[in-house]
Amino acid sequence: MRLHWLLALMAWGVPVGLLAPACQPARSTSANLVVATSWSGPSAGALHRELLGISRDLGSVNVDLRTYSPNAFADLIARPQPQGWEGQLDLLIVPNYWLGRLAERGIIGEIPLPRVVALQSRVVGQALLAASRGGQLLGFPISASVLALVYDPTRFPAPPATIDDLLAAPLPLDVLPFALDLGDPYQLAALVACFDGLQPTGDGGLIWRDEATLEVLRRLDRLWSRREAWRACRGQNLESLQLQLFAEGRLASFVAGPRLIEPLERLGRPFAVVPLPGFAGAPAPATALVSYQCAAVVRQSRWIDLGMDVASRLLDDEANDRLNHATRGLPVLGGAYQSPEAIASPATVGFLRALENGRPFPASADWQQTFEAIAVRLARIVTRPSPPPLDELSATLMGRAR
Amino acid sequence: MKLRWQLVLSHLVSIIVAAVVIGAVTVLLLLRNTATIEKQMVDAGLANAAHTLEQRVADLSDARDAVASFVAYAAAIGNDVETLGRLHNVLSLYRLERVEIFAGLHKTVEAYRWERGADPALATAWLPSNPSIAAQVASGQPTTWVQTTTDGPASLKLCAPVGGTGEAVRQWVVVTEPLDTDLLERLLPAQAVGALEYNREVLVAWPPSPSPPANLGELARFLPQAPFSFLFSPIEAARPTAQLDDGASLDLRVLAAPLRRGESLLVGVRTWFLVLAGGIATAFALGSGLAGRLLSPLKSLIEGTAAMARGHLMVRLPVERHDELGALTREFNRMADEIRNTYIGVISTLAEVVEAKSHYTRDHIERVERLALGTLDVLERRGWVRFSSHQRFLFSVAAILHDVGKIAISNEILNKSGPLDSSEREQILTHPEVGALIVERMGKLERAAEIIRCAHEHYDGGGYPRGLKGEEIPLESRIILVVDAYDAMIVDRPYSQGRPVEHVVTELRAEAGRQFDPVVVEAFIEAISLESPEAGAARADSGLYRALHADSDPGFSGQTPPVSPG
Repeated sequence: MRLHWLLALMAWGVPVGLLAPACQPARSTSANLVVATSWSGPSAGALHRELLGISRDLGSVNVDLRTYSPNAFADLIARPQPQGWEGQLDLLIVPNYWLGRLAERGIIGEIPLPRVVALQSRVVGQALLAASRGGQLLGFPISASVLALVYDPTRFPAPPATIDDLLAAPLPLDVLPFALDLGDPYQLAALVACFDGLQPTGDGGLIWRDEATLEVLRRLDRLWSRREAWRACRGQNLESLQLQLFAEGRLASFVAGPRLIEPLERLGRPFAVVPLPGFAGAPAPATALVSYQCAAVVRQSRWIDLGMDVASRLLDDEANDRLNHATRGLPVLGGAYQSPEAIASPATVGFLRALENGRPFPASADWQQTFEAIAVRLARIVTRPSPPPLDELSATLMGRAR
Repeated sequence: MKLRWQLVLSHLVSIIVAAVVIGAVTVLLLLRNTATIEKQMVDAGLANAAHTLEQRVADLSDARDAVASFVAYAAAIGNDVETLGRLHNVLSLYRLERVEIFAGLHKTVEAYRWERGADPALATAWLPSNPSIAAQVASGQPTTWVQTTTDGPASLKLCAPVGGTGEAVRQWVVVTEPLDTDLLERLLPAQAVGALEYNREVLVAWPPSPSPPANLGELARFLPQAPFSFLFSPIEAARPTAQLDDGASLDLRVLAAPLRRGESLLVGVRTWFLVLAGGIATAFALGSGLAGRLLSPLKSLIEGTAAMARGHLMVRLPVERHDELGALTREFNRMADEIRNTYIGVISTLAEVVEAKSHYTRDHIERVERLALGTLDVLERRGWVRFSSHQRFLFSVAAILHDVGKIAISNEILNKSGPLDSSEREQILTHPEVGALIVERMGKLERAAEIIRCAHEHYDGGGYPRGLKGEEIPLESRIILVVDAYDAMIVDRPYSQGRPVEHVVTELRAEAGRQFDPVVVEAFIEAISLESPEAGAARADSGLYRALHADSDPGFSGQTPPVSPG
């Protein structure tokens, strides 16, 4: 009878043994890749759709997208706790200038050489350079953003060569010649570069010279003579205001990014795009900073290879095109520059030229801190209801605010 | 079909039927509960979406009133950058997409966000085309309506007059919320598709498609799929949200995939099959085990009955159960006892007749049987032979009745003290055959009859009745010959004095190889050397002959110890 009891035990043991794994969630047997980003709205939605598509293509991979506000994301990554999020997140979608700090903290690592070689054949060199630090590629650049000058060709039949040309143009009194966002160091940096305001450092970063900022503001002083110009260059919701003023013919030119291409086209008003011009007589041309969104794999991830596969798939031609269309970013694939659609569009060509002329946003922790510090100093200026005098500007920028 | 497999099949059928019924009921209950939960989740998601939309309308209403207050208290409202800047602050503060200020039928100023509000299709067509809405606006009341266009997104418009109702109404503020896919994507629950309807017509649907669907069913193709989910209809739910001033309402309608039901069915079916497989294995094991437990005593009964049929009169089955099978075993043992007692009665009668006819005493037959069995024990111990209980029984019968043939010989010849003449000798020589015939006719004792027939054959072929020699003579016969000769020599007879054992042994050894089997002689000598008086008595107690005569002795049970068949 012992044999029969043994058989009975096996009869229950075998199905229970089979049942136990069967009752577990199916996901437990597949890879679960957690992707974190500060993207929001349609951009996050587009990224989510692409990730879902990649998940389907890869088979038994579950991709979970977690979105954070930019501040929360930065705070999360900067949090110095021994057992933080590193074990929970696998792939980070971050600006290229975060990569340096993440690498310094050991959160992300170098991309293996075979993948770098594969990227070099498809991705523009500037994008790879921007995602590198010390000769090591730290992330997969997936989209680019650069600022350019959007101008009204009915006001300027020829592309303006300098900012001074813009300011001196004979325009009706109710038309502002030029606008930019003074509170955004990203916009101001291109002009600051005209006066050697951005000095390269040994570690690939830049030093921001406040004297150059002061010179830019001094050269724009003609603009502030009109009260409404000050409002058009600072304040909340500035992009919308500038776009509206441009659409209504009340603004002849303004600094904008590629994400405004689609609304500009929808408004129906003629517009043209050129790289941001410099100042007349300035020692250097204007050089816009190009920022990239990069996918970086967390070193402590359980799915490092899978994370790199997913990042690589975000660079597939069609996937990258869809992603950039939804996020209104510029492509980083060399092939995208040669498509007939890109060549036919003056706006795209203008932004692509700005991309070529631009300077990669440094992937340096020091530069990031510098950038944040200058943003704080500029914020002190733009909160003024009217443009401050030059000496006050100087004191504010040099940290000697009264 | 064998009884074992009938039992196994019975268990299998029972468990399969039970598993199928229980599994079907369980899966149905699981699906019903899952459907309820799914429906509740969709309803909850829809309620949340509706609440979000209602909250958004309330926020728009607050924003409209804020802009109206700003316009009412502003020194002057013009299309200047300063005013535009203020309006853009409001846009940013309330996350408005578009705000417009009208003076009469003339748009004084408008401000819009670049992301969605810049779409020209969202610009307010003043006054509203719906006469009732236009009348309500003209009468200076806050009004909410939906503006639809042919080639752009529809939009929700909230209008308020600037200033109190007592004043001349000359200005209106209109705020706009695009009713587009962006809004719907934010509202809808995850993994659901849906549409926003106005007057039961689809304004906008999610996910976006080249042409808006005529009904929600067309969106089902966008729903995510799970195993088995195609078996169930998508879950549909609708809910009115914002009530508009033209009497219509904005309705949210969602369609969700029955993913959980598909997953539940998959898990249920998988579990069901696993339990069924386990049940089948269990049924097989239990059925087989129960069959073995039931059939084991039946098998013993069958074997016992067969042994009885073969003449194994000592068979007795162990009674290990207290159920019907135990009772059947007890009845079998009782029947075997009855048969055995009948045989024993006959053997007892014959033994008594031989005793009476010959001048044998009961002791002679007892000694012959005891010493024969003792010799057999020695041979078994030496590994020469291995006798079953049945063979021992037959050997005992043969030892007891080895001279039963003498019944047919006249007393004069048997008891004659002088030498026998040839006719008397011939008559004496017939007694083994006669004895064998008597025993044979008792039935089931053919082997005992053969032993008796050969009990006077000599090892060298000089015996009778057939002159067999060596191994042709059954071992039992060779043993009985030695024992009988020994007993005849040591016992005092009327015509002769018993000889000492040593002399008899010498005589036996002298005849070894001639009259007797040498192996048997040596075994017999060992048997008598080992036999002490106490041991002899004890052995005598266990002999069949003792049992035959114990029937008449008080205190003797007459029961032989249980012996398993074979």
